[in-house]
Amino acid sequence: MINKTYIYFTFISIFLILFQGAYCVYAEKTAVVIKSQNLSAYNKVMEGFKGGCIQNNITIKSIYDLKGKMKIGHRIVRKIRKEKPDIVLTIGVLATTIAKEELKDIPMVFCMVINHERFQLTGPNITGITTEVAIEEQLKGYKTILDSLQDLGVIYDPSKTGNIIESAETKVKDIGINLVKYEIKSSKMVSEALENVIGRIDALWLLPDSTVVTKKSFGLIKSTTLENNIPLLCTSDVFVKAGALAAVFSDYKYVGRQAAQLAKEILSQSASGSLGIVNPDKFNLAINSDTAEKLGLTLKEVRGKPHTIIYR
Amino acid sequence: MIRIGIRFKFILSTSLLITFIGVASSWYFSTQTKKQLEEELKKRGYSLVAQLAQDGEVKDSMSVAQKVFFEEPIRRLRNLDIEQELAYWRVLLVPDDILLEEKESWIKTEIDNVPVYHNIGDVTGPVFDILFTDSGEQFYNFVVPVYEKHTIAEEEFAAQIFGLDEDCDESAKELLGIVQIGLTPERINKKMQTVLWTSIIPLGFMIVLVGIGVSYFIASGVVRPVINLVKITERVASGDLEQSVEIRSRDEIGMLASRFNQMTKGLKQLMDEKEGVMIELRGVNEELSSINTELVQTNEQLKDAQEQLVRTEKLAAVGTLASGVSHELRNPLSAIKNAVFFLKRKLSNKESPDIDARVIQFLDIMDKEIDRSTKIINDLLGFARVISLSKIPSDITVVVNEAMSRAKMAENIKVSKNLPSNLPMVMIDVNKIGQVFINLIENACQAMPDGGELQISTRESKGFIEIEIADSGCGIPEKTIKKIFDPLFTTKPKGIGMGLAVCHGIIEKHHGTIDVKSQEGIGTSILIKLPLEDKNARPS
Repeated sequence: MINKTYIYFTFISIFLILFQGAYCVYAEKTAVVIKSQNLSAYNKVMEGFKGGCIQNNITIKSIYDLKGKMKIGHRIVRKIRKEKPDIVLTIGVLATTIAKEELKDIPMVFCMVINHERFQLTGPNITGITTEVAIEEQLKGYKTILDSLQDLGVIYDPSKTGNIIESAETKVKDIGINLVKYEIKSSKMVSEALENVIGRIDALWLLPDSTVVTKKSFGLIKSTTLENNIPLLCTSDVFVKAGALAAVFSDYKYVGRQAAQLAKEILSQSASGSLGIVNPDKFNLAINSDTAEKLGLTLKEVRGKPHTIIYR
Repeated sequence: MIRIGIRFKFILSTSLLITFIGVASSWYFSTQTKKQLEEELKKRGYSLVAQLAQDGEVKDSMSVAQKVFFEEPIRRLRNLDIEQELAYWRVLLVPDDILLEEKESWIKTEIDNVPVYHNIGDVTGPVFDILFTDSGEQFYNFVVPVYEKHTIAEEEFAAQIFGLDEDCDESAKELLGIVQIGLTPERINKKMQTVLWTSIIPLGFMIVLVGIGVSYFIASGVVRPVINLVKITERVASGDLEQSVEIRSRDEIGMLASRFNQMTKGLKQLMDEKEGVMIELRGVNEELSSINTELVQTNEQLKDAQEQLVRTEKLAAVGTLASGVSHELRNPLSAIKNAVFFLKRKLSNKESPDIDARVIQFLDIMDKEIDRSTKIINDLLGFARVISLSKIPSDITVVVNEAMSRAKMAENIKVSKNLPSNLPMVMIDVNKIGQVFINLIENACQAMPDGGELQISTRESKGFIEIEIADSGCGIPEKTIKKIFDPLFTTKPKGIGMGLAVCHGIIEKHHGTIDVKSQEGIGTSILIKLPLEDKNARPS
């Protein structure tokens, strides 16, 4: 006769074995985060990613800060390779480019790479989220405060942001905006470019172009546009805080969550592969109320709207 | 002693002050200019060294310790040196290794003589100092630390786009080394010299000259009214109280002029009052003076009258006495005279050896003394009988000549005469006046026992005939000069003192005057004045 105690014990043991096995299968998914340097935006992404990982049962094994240094970066990434995580999240261009070189057999999700197309971040293990909000969404956001926007000026270095301009031209036309372009090849030409376009435009669109945007040139661009009553539109809230009128920029925290979601999807596939490069799902509109006031703009329609941040 | 005026003092002191201000201003201006030029040089130096230190290629080159990569950064640095002030540049790696050191060819100092920074690990920020080399050159030396490239360029741009994290520690950077550059201050020294000679010194001179000119005009403006005031004060001091100062301003000078005018006005009032009082006092004084004169005259008259009275009484007494005594003595003397004459004749007719020769001698003495006594008696009688005169119009020259011929004069007496012939006739008693002249001439001769000069002159003066008899004799003592006309006063051992008294009496009877002037040892002068008009003559 079979003792009941043995029967209970056997069931409990089977349950525990199954639970443990399921848990072990599920909990094996680990992630490593590599951030290029210690930036506020990167930290927000990481924060979002952490939250997303918890939701998606992904364990973050370690977080590395490359501190912007190439040599350290390579050393760290080589070390990560030995850790063999299931997936790697790279934040910023330094972490992404090194990981791309060093971790060809580990799936990775990149984000916060400005104008990622320049770095050819493609590969079977590479998935990414663009930093820039889709152009249509950007223009839609700008239109909420600038109804009569017709001629949108843009200064750019073709070697750096030529691809953005190329794809923007057709999209802009569809919205009914005329793009007034001015090419420059060095930062010294910013002043000349401003003089050239300032009289022909309703607003200036400031791309994340390192030739156009430098520490010195931003002050000149801001003062020139303000003097000529031209709204300055950017791709980062940092510039809005510094005096630009508005920026449509991705919600960094949500970018982290979006990355975690992508990581889950990659890990849930039978064979890890690339999901391609996607746009950020959520973005914010930042407006500087002081600048708007100087330009004679009213912000009644946008005040209180979700995803709208007003700085003074 | 040189008198230094207020204008000179004012101009001197003001000029000194303005010169001091001018020099101080020039010094301040030159100091500020030099400071400004030095500041500009320092700014350029900091900018150049910062450009070099921030150059990516420099950092990369320092990271790999290869100086060949410096060619381009140094070329850019030299291009940035528009003012041509860059003298040398040096790159040092941690710990203290010189990676690169070069200088411009025109700098005399060798680069080895430019001090090398040690302990570069301690350099945390830009350092500036001024170096002096052994060759005497001066350099403005700039040093900045160079840190390892923080991030790759794209991440730097990302940081710019996304913004730095609030707790990002920028100081956690690795020091690669330092870059050092030197700028020569030659250009600013030349500029300073130019500024000094074209602006500061001319400006200083202009300040001084304008200051002196302005102070001269100010001083003149102040001093001119003062000088005018001084001139008017001098005039007022010399008695012209009508002067007044023109008041042109309401300042202190104007107040002084106003007070001066008030003072002058008050002074004039006082002087007028004083003048009135003085006039009154002068009148009173004149009155007192005239009263005093009258009193003196009256007193003198009284004195003269008293003297005259005394003299008259004395003469009267003498006259009375002389008249009585002379009359009584004349007869006995005549009898004695006759007796002596008889004895002398008797004795002279007989030649007897018994008669002593001394008897004849004594008789001669007796005879002479009798004559002398007779003369005295005659004088006394003459004095007593002088009262009656028999005046006739006479030529005084004739009378004088007659008297001179009769008077006894020694041979050693030199006589000088000044007797004009055209003198008017004068009413005199010729015998009496002649007796006076003889008396006076003989007295004068007796005063010159050792010889001398007798001067006799006559002249007409103011209604009088003046006769002056002067000798160069022994003179008369001052204390006895007033008594010589008194009767019985004599200085001669054998005189009785009646001669001059008789003369005085005769002249007075003629209403004339007789005065004596005498100085002991020089001589005596007697002046007789006889009126031309006879006061006793009855009108026809």
